[in-house]
Amino acid sequence: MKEEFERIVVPGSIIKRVGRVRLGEYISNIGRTYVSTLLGVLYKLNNEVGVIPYKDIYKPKPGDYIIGIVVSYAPSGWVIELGTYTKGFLPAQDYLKDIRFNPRKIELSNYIKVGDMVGAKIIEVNRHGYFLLTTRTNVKDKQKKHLGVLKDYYIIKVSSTKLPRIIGRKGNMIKIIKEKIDGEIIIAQNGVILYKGEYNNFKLLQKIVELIVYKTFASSLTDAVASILGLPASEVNKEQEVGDENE
Amino acid sequence: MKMSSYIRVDGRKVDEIRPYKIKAHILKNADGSAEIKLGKNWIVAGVYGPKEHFPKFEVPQDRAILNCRYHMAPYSTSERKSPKPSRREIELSKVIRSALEQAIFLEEFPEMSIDVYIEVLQADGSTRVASITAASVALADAGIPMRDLVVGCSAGKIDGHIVLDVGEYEDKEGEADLPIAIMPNLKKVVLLQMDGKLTHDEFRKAFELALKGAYKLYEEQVRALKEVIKEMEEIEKGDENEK
Repeated sequence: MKEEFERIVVPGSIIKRVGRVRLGEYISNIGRTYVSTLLGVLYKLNNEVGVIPYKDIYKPKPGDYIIGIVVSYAPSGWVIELGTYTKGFLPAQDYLKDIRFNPRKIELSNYIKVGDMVGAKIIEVNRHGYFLLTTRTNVKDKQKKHLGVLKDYYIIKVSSTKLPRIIGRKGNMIKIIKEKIDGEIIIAQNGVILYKGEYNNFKLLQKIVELIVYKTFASSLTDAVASILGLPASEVNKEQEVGDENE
Repeated sequence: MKMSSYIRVDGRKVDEIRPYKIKAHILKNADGSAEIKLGKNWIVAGVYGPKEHFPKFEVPQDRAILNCRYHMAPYSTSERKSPKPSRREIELSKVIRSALEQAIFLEEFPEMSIDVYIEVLQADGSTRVASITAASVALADAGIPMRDLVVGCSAGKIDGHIVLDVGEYEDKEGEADLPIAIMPNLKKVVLLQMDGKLTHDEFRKAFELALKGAYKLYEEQVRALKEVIKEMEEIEKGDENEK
């Protein structure tokens, strides 16, 4: 199943609907014509036509795992910023779990301070885009570890449209990266990438992410990343080892 | 339609457009940006948003609002122009806003606002249509969902001849000018103004001429946007070592 990068579309490019083709994202029906609503690349896959966008605004959806920064206290919880157009709300009772939240007795800043980084899941989005967060999980959930306050991580922020490319088809890109770079890599759906480990490895990861962001639509991207991780990666380490000795 | 062999003050034919170039994604800090050069016109547009709008009572609950600012730099004209927004600039901001509003899916972002800032660095006539052309490329670069690109072009009447793409001198000394903006794929007119007097036939002729110019500029818009993607498609061998 190879996606064919057929052609580039701009907002308003008319998309011909031949036969019974399903319409993917970023295609809108105006009058009797189907037009692309964003700049991107058109793909056809399994009877579906859609647009891979060049840039898009992250829209929070229920079930997404996100990482944000606490920007202020509300009377009964925290306000969290994700780098998108609206802010989220994390209720205090949700985070405190067993302790009963009483605003007279419990000081919110003892638990999470303004400026702390928080991993959470979205449970509800209202029609204005404001959303409710939770740090509790079901037993089945995969994202069990990284909920609540996250400390001592290196941060990389990318656009959320670049994430599918960083993860790769069936996760092969992230698999290559994780093979060579040891340490903990967390990817959140709002485009935040966290890394815990050695500084040299972080620099390498940053370099790879930058390449993926700048050359998103290149077809030989996995090879390029592999080549960075392969030979040049060892060179980078060598140079730094030499530098350490001199110091 | 038969064109006359009238040669204009800058040596152009009646249906000739000034040399043009559009470039998308020129500024790093703005969410989206574009630049247009049309003759001596040099216009830069930047876009921010969508973001929360304050104060809240200003914004309707079912859709976003579009803020638009058209501004001429003090050094854009042959005599210094006061940097404070003049009556003309406020009016043009409004006109450009209502032209762009029709192309954007504002209902997808309730209670938000989108900002468009247009800076005229050098003015040489027909700046309002050139601004619209640049601003719509900047909006597409910012990833804001749109029904279509918006493209503008102007026509006018000089010495009894209908001409395309009116320059500054022709604008001042000519008999009439007609700026239009369209959504080329949906075939809709989003801006139509007229200054001076034209008969019915002359109007029709000028409108068709302006349409022709707009379609030419549309091709350039598409080319500029496609170039942004094409840059992302190629991996040069030097790249891997540089980054």
